[in-house]
Amino acid sequence: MKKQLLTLLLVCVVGLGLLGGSVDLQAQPGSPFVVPAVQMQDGFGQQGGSVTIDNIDNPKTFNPITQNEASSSAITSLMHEALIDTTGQATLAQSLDIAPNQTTVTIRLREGSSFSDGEPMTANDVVFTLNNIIFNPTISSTLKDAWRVSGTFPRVTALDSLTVEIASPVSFSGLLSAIASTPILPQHLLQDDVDNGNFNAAWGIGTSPNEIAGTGPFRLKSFVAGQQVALERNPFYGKVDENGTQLPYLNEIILPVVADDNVRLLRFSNGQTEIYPPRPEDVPVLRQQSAQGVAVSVQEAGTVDMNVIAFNQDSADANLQTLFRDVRFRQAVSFATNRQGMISANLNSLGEARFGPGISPLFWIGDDANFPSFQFDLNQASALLDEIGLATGSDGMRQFADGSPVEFTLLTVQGSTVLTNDAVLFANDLGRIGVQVNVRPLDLNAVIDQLLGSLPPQFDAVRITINGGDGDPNLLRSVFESTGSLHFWKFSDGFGAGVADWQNEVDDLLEQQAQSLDLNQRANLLADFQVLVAENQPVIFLYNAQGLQTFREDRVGNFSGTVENATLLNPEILFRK
Amino acid sequence: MLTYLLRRLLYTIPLLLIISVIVFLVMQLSPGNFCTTLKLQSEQIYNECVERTGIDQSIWVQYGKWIWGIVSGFDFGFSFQNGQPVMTQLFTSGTFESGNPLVWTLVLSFGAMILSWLLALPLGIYAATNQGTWRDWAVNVFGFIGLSIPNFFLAIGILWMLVVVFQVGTNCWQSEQLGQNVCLGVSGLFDGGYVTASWSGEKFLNLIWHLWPALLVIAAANLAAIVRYVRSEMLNVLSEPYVQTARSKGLSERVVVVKHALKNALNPLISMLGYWLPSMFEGTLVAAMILQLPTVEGAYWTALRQGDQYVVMAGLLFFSMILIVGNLLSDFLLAWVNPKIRYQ
Amino acid sequence: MATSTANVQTASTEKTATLGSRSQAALIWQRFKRNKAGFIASIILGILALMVIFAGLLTPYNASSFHADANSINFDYVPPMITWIHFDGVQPYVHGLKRTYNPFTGVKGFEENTEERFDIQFFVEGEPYLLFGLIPSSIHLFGTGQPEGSTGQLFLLGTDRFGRDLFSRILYGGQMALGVAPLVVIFSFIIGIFLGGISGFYGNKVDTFIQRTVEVAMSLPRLALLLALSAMLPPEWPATARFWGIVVILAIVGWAPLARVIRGQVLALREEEFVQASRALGASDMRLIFKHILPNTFGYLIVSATLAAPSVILLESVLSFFGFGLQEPLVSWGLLMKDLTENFQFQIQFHPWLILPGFFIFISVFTFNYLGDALRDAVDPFTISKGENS
Repeated sequence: MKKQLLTLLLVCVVGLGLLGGSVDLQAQPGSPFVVPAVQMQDGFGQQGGSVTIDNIDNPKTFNPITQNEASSSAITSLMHEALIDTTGQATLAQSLDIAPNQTTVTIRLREGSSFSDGEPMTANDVVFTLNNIIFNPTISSTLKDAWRVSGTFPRVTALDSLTVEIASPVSFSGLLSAIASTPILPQHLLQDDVDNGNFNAAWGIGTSPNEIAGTGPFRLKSFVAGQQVALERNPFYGKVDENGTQLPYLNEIILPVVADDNVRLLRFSNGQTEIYPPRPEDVPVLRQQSAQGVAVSVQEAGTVDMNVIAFNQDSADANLQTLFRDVRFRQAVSFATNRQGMISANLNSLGEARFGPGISPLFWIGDDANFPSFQFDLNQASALLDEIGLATGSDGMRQFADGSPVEFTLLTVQGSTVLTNDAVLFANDLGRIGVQVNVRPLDLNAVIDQLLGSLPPQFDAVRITINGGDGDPNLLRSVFESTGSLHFWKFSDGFGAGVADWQNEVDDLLEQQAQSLDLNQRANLLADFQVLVAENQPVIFLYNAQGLQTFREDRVGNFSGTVENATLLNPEILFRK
Repeated sequence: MLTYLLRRLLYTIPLLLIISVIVFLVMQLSPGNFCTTLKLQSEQIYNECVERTGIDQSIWVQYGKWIWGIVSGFDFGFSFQNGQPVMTQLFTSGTFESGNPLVWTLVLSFGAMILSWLLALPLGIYAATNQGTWRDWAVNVFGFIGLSIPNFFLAIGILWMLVVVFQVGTNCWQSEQLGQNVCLGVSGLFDGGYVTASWSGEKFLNLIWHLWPALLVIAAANLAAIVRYVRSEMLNVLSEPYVQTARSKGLSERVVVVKHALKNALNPLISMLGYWLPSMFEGTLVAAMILQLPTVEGAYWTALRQGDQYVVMAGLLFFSMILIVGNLLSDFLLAWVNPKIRYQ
Repeated sequence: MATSTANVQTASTEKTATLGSRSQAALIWQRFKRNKAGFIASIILGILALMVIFAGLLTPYNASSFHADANSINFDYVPPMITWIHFDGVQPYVHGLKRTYNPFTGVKGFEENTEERFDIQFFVEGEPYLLFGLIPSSIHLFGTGQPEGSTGQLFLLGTDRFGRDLFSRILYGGQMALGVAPLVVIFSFIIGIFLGGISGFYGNKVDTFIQRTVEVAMSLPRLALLLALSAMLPPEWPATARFWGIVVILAIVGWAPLARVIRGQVLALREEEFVQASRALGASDMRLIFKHILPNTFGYLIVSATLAAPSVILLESVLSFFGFGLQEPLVSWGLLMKDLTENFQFQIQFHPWLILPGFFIFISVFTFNYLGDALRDAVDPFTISKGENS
């Protein structure tokens, strides 16, 4: 069904905490990467078999660079893999060296690595992928921002056929994350498209499977629009297990196209699919099923999405503008918000209340006892409103000094039950402190227009979700920096001038942490940032939804989770029981 | 008659043109556009999208180009989602093994039509011959029940019953064709490997298993109305003198009903076929969305959700075409069964 | 979707038109009374309509008020308490609500706390509301009369995820569902009668033009267009304006067949002697149309209105189901069904009472169809039910 969460998608770049030195487990050059057995919680698997996972829609493209939504990335993520993994360890690459000046990274490729069509992968392919594709101004990609360092891109050169040097102009904490997020593409298949300026349309869904190749564990077998995508094992994949068995274990991954949430759950219940990322309210259904003897395992997986209510601090209404800019008002609202009620009604209690920004677990301090807290407290909220000078009228509703009622419109996305439900609950809570909130569900496009369509923005208040906070903290800059493209609550001229003091401080902190390569220093800077934001509640932070995943224990081994509800974490070691 | 046919066909051209304008305006008036959501990712991606799709051009330029493409080369534009031609996206994507959306739409709509007539004829005759009894009443109630359940609820209810109550997924067999264990599934058209497998008896049976809930959902909404028509036509005919004569000749009731009455009652019913066609397509729209059927309606629904302008427009034109053809068909059938009607 | 365009043939109008209008009404009534199913249907519908109109008085709560305990934790998913009503002599009472929790599935629930007892009172003071949307009142027919936060609540048909009373929501939602239908029918009739009437009466160029318009309108795919149209309702519109927008859209896609039939009837009536006579007496065109011709199509209008209503009710629910219909905080049966179908398996397995709004949709569509059938037979006995009395 139509799932229109208004979600500000940050670039989906994996978060990397450690900026370690070179790690080189394999001494022997030319040998494939050996996946350590400790990663396989169910032990070694046997080759063969297939696993079925429903895909939420038809993929729009098989191009891993230009894809920008989940139905495509669920597939491209299986067909492509980066040179290093999310812990910063070289996998498909032989080794990774960071120069002492911390700006130059040298990557050594494995001898004999090849793409899924059997052609060898060389340093030229890496240089081609970065210089000709990602840094190419005519090609739009969500990966671009991850690579951009103070306005420019690193310099990439091939030292020899297996060695690549990446030199950044300044020390940049996000460089390894960027490498770990970038798939390497075959020059021999894509050179023409890039030369013709045709890359944005390359590898569309009509492309024949043998014209697509990657370095991931699977390759495209067939695609039937509206029915299914079939992937088969990549026989040239560069990883083996400790027994020397060529990975991936699975012969096939089938991804039927099923757009309806209810139907996906029913298909999983019926045994048609092996893996399913459930909605919170599916969990009791699945638990009941496992009580009836079906080997369904429900697991919790962390997510750090930010569910917030934002006020337009540049509202055209003078009363509302003053009010929304007043930190006491935002704090009062934060106190008046019954977060547990929202979590209970929407998430089936599978979530946690939040008072500050979501950030990757490595830097997370939100659970600290000293962290600012805004537990549901109507008295404190009323006291703050009194302090601002909002009098209570005869009808029990708050009034501005000029006698007009305190009233604003809260936008949500039509068709998104969670957002609308939150808004309805929020309106009810605020009604209890005398503030009238009118909930207005709009078409998704209309909401975006009101948020980003003009300067200053048009809306009063909006309930949105910001995704991607579990990635590199640098991604938060576009939201929390006063000049960020997603800093939609503004209170500035849009260029960073005339902003509040605390906001200037936030801008400084985010800039400093971006250039810091010392993990402890970075953590301290990000801790200050989190406290500052939480104290000032520029947006009302609501809760963290618990990430969830289920799989059939009797059929699938070594399942280690999904990201963003669709992308498998370790598809190469998954096996069929 | 031939000139009339030609005239009517020619006449659909301006009709479709007007409809295309309406359809285009409807799309243009919707808030935002296909690219709007990309603003959340980056300005550059948004701009690239706008340039690629040409939605920043004035609406008359867009419309002119679109119509010209259709007139000059039967080119209905391209899909914003994936750059494919609209015709491919809506109608022809797929292989011989998997079938394409147009084929599945026709199979479902006509399948549902045949199913509803196969059910309605005996029910209607039964009701007519048992007129005034509780049996007549029961048929009527049965028909109205199908009509009164919202069909989206019926669709999802059937799936739930199959999975949770009947647990169809526990029925498995070893497929010789696929060389693997296959279990009964719900939604879509095939289970697992059958999608790309070559056609065989096994694959066909699997298809039938997936088709029946869809056919039932589509047919249920229309069954009551058809039963009522069959019944009233039969009553009309049964009260005719020649039927009374046949009865008085001592023919068995079965012979009277089937040989004399039914034959004559069928004529006006045939003329109704055309009218039911569009409503079958409408039913397919809802069934396709819930039962995940790769039909034209399914592709239309996806496009509608994403503001995929040209696909939605072509889809609406296609549905209009079906309506027009349905009306035309009814007129012809009516003339065919009733030679007294003349065309001017 | 229901397609119940009445196929009343114009041939019969010659007969009905010649009957005096008073005796015609009497005849229709007589015939209608004889049809038991139709009669029962009309009684059920009448009760339903009364319940919906007097929703404010009959329901113990307002449709969108949240109910929570003293700790501000919602009374979410309380099962229907209609089976938890006990009698002490003639005095009905309910027990207090006590929370339960299934630690394995994580499903929360409620049971009776037999230590508490709350008498059900009649004409009790409660949440303020506007009767018929006009008269402010706070008297409810029944209720426990307990304050907000008390465990002594009376949720006859249970509550939803926010602790909103389903019984109240169904009745208030019925105002929308049953209100949309007549409004849409009235709107499409206004367009249909106006255009059809003019077209049939004047003929020639006006007729041709209107007929072409009708053909365009009839060639527009209803549901497909409806989904596209309701996506384009202006975003600035508040929820209530959306309601009217949807009514108008439903009317726009529904007026054409009606206009066509009216035209046919007017064409036939235009040639009738009594119309010709009035014309000879110098009656104006408008007077002719409205005074003489339209009243004679009245029977047909009633029948097709009754038959159009169920399809409008179903369309509203389909639109809401796909998220294109009415929006929170409005409440309609379609929206209530969306609550159920949003997480279908969860709700149907753990909170099956949420299916009740669907039952109301079913009943109203079902009875409307029977009523329409009966009315058609009564108004127009020569076509459909020819053999009924033979």
